[in-house]
Amino acid sequence: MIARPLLALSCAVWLLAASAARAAEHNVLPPGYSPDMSSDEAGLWMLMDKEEAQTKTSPNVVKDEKLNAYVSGVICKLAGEYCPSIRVYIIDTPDWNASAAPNGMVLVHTGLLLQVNNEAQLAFVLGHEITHYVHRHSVEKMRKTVNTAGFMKVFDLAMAGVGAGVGADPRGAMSLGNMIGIYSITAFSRDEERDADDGGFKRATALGYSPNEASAIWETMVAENKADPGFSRSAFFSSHPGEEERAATNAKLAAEIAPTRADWITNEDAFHAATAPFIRRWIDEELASGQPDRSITIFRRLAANMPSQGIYQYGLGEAYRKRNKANDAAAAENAYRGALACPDAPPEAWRGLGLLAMKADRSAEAKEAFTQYRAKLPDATDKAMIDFYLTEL
Amino acid sequence: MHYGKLLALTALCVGLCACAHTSTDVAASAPVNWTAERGKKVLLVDPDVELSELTFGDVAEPRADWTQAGKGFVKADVASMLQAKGIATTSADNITDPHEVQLVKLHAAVGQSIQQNSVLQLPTKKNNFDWTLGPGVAALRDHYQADYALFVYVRDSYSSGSRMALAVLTMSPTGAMQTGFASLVDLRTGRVVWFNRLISSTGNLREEKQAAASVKNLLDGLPL
Repeated sequence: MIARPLLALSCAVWLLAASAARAAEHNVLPPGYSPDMSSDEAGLWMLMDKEEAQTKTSPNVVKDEKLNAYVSGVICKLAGEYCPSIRVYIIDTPDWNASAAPNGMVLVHTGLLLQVNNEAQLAFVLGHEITHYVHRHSVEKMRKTVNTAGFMKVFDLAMAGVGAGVGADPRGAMSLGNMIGIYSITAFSRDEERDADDGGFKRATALGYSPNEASAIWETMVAENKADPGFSRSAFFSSHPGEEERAATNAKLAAEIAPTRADWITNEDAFHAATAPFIRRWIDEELASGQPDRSITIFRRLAANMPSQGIYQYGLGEAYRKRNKANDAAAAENAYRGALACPDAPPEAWRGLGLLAMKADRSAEAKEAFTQYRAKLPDATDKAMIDFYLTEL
Repeated sequence: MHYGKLLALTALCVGLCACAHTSTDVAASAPVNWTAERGKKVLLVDPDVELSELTFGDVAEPRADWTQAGKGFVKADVASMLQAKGIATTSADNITDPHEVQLVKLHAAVGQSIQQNSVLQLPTKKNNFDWTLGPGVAALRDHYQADYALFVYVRDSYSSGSRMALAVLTMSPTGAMQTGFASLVDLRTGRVVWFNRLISSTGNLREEKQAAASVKNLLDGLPL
């Protein structure tokens, strides 16, 4: 089932990409709109309403009221007159991602909240998603898919003679529901992505968010991709225009608009205040994603941006220790020591140091580190294991 | 047992004839004594219905208006059929409790597995009809004070005008297909005690009379 829609979709993108941006301009969602029940758009909304009903009860939805109020507040300002039509769900998953469904369901992944530097960066990403919603890119995508499949059928018939392919087994028919499930994030054309970038930029800068933060997002991506060629942040980027192009486009736009006012904001403090209670959890989830290369790239940046926050250096230490390539032990030790020099040092940094020392046969050092860990976190869930190590050392 | 028969019939329905076919399974172990169960209450779970338009290029495009109408018919027909049999019912619409939502999703997954197993049998499962949703169904029993739950799942598609025109022109079948299943789950144990599959190349859930015929097929052999 996967191969066929994929083929059709890539064809849809190639055949019709040129008209996408233009089509989007003419297809703006009226505020408070709901589609005519007999329309294809209503069918799409119906599927999304079903998805949303399931999302609502998902154990992965973050229920914390304060965090929801904060993220919804940012989205509401960006969405303006569309705010009453939008519902926001924060999804507990370590991916750099967000999405806006055609029915107004917006998903924000916690990995995005962990990885952006400030509210302005968050606003540019969310503004991008809101533009997909307002410009009804999903319904455009659906119509293109249907049309393209029609073109392909005509082509099939022409090739095989009339009669062939008609009355095809419906089990082979493409179900839009399945396709939407699989491709909701990656299937917009590059022109639609450019349109969304443009719309997001306008929405965010209109609220005073510093335009330099838009290009900063993509410059970060470029730098991190260069540092690690195998780096794959998430599906979000696979269909999007290249980061370099986006960084350049956004930098150009920023240069034009930046001089128009002096009071651009990033709301860094508000962002960190809202996310601080969850950072440790999100770091642990990133570490648990089992992609230490990615984690190292992310934590190296976060630790450099916020050197007084030991928590990120702890995450970096853990990622290095888990990757365990040449020189990683030294890098991990360095990061743990950096973490322990900060007032918010997590006690687990001592455990990390202890494990590294134990592995390197530095028994006295390991003993000292484990003792510190046990003293600072007496109820640690792994205390029995650590106590066993202490008796063995 | 059903493997070859169902495959052949599926192929036949798709390729040639305008027919409806149902096949029923009843729990293999500890069969239910239906006479003794007669006074029990059945929970009618909000049916999962989706109607689509099959476009010229074979894309099944969901239709909200058809779905709304079709679901309404299915719901009313199921209720009236059980009423006619004198079975006490209660219904669960718009389920929002997270655990109950999970149970509905679990039923969809189990139902699909039963469907799949009827075509491609798991080597160790064979025809042993011992599917269950597990004891977690107690939540439904307690909430709705019911002994059994009846789940209904239907997908139907209808050819668009241009697709139909091409089919007529080339004298081939339209390929639109009605598929579905219904299952009766014992809320004391979670066991799927009765299961019926429906596959049909005809029928129209958008029309009240034809919808009633489809529901009659779907509930054909319901032992209550």
